[in-house]
Amino acid sequence: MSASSYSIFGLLSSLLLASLFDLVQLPSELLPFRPHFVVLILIYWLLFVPAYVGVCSAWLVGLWVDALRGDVLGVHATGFALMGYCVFLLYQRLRVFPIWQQAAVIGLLIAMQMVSTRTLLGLAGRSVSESFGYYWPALTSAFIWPVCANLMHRWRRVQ
Amino acid sequence: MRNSLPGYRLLMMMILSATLLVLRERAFMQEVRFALGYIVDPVLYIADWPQQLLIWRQEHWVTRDTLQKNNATLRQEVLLLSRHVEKMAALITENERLRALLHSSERLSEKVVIAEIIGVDADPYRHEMILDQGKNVGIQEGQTVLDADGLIGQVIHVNARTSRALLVTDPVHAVPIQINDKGIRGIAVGSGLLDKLYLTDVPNTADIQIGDLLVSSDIGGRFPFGYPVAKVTLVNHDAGKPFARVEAQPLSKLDRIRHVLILMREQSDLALDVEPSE
Repeated sequence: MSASSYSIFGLLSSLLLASLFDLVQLPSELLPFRPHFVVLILIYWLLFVPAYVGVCSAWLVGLWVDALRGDVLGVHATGFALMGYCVFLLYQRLRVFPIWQQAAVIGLLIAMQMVSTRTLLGLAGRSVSESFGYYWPALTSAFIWPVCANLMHRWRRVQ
Repeated sequence: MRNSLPGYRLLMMMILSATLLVLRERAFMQEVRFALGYIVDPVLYIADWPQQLLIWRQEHWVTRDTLQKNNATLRQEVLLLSRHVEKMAALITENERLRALLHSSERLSEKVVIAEIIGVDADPYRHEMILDQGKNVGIQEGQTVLDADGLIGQVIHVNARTSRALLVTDPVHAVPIQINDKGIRGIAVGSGLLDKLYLTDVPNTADIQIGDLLVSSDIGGRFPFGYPVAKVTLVNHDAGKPFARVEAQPLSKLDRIRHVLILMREQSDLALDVEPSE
């Protein structure tokens, strides 16, 4: 596997699958803990093929999430683009980190994206949670990152 | 030089986002969102497949015994309901005659569409659900969503084949209500919990009791009059505060429903349906 092997099919299919994982109905007890799969997959591509997937792609994925969630266009896109930029600044270091350290940084990045999205959602007049429970997905996403990265490596190797 | 490029891109994207957010109410932005809906709808349907499978399993792997039992209870219910309908027919004609005598406007007859819930919002703090009917059957923003027990929300976004409804319990939702037999008016605001609504600005002297039925009111022109919304569960008169603290519980089990009714009223009717006051 070359470090920057990239196919548009691999990218789109993984994002689509992640979108489905984000939308599938769960028992209400589990709902607050669902990881943000689309964001994880996006970070994976930002991290490992930075030559192709960058700030603009992140913004487009954000727009897709806005459309899926029925939000005002631009709410998720802004946060995703910001996060994309941060990953760009960090990717060289992040790639050599041990996996758990990687996971911690990615958790923080996702939390940052959630802060920005939540602020904009509030401004757009949608209801947002006031409790810290809102940030559970950042933690669960960090925990699931190693599995996710591993599966994505395999998926890229298949193509 | 090469490293500064993403910085400029970020700036460009931020400007683009800001433009989108500022122009969000424009007609052409609504059209863009509607066009995106054509791609989004299939994904929403596919995301519901696991749930469909679960339901299919529940419906098909049933013992003969349970089916017979269900059948018997349903028969009884039909009998009871048809008795109500018989009485209703007489009441409706009588009501219409009286309204004609009072010269008040005729009530619009309302068409309903049955929709299935194919998803709930991924964010547990947002009480929104995705319905499997959209513009193709004439659903519009602002239409009222009901279930068998009463009013549960309104449509806030319409795609070609799906639509999104906001539940009465969402913290940003408010529904004008009236206490059924007493005529006290108020506003029921969502609490963020599926079994609680708050009644705001109820005077301490208002005659509200636990168990009072709240029905929707057509003040504001958004909702039709007379659909049950909630039952009062708590009334707390605090002499030191100008308003009483009143809580109510929605009549429908909002986490259990699978099918809803959408009241088809044209957007133009929504504003005109307010009756002249005495």
